[in-house]
Amino acid sequence: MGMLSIALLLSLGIMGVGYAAWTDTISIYGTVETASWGGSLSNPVPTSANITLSVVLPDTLNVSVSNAHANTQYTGSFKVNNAGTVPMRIESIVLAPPSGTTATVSGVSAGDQIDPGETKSAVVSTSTPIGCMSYNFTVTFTFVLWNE
Amino acid sequence: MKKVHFVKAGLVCLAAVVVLGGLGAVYSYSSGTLRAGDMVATACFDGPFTWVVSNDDGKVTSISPYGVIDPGDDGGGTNYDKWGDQSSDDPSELQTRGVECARYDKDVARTIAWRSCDRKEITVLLENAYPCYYPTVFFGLKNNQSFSVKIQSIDISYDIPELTVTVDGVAVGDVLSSGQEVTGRLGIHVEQSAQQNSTYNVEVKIVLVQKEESGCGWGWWGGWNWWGWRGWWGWKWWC
Repeated sequence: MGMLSIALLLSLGIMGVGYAAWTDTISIYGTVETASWGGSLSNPVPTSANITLSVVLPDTLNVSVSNAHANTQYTGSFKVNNAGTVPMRIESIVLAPPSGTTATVSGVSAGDQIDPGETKSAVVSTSTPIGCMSYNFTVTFTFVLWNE
Repeated sequence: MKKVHFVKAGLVCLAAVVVLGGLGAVYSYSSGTLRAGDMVATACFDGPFTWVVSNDDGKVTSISPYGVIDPGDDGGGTNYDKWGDQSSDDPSELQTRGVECARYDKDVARTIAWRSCDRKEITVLLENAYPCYYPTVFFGLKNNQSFSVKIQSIDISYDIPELTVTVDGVAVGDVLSSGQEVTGRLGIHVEQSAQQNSTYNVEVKIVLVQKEESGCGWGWWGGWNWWGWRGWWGWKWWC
């Protein structure tokens, strides 16, 4: 009995020492806080008669022309903003004027970069060769991060 | 009389077994993970993280004996500079220690990293991050013990696919002899699918264990055959 107990003591003691072998756990904790991004349109202002502008979506401008005179330029201004915290790039500007009419945007163009907090001024112009015509169309911007 | 003597001895031994076993368990448990809130004075400055360097905190850092760790982290912002001298043009690829990496021409995001008092934890913070931002954090891992230490496991956990996290320079199975230091590298790549105005978390857990200097030793060996009561036991040379 005594021998058995001593043997048990030794073996369990060795097991205890083995179990108590040194170990350590170290950690790296990372937190990623992402920025805000996205361009937007604002401040639509008619700069000639017979035209109205409105921002219908953050990236879409609606242009309406009523009772247009033939071959007359109708214009309106608006702003292109970057209210985020990452520089943005204008990937595309899509105008969809009705058949027979023309429309252009000046002041900004595809590929332009806009830094955070920056605002650029733009002008939309449209005309029609047909008198007494009313029409409307949209101007849609696509914004992407500058590094895309 | 003799029987009583053996019974007493047996009881004493049994008590000793229980006490020693308990001590072993307590000692083992007490050497487990230390969290920031567990910091005690004796634990401070003993941990294995000897230094940590971010490659987008605006400081070119030199560590002896390696020299400059993060060349290019010069605090500049070429075409846009949100952070001034607190950050540099953003890295767009994983950096190799001592070698400049590709960087964007803008300083939009930044990454800072620091150690806890006990040097057992590193905290890394990416601010104003965006898709394709790719900072690197270097760290020194030193065996401060008097014996060799083995890296038993490295577990990387993060809760979203919008990040890709890598750790290299240290690997499972690596053995650090007493006083030896190795350089580890943590890379965090923000993926295209990352959402704006979000917070993502990453955790890397490294378990270090004592490396037995010799793989062999005497150990107890014993048991009973299943078909009978005949016992067998004795000392055995284990490797």
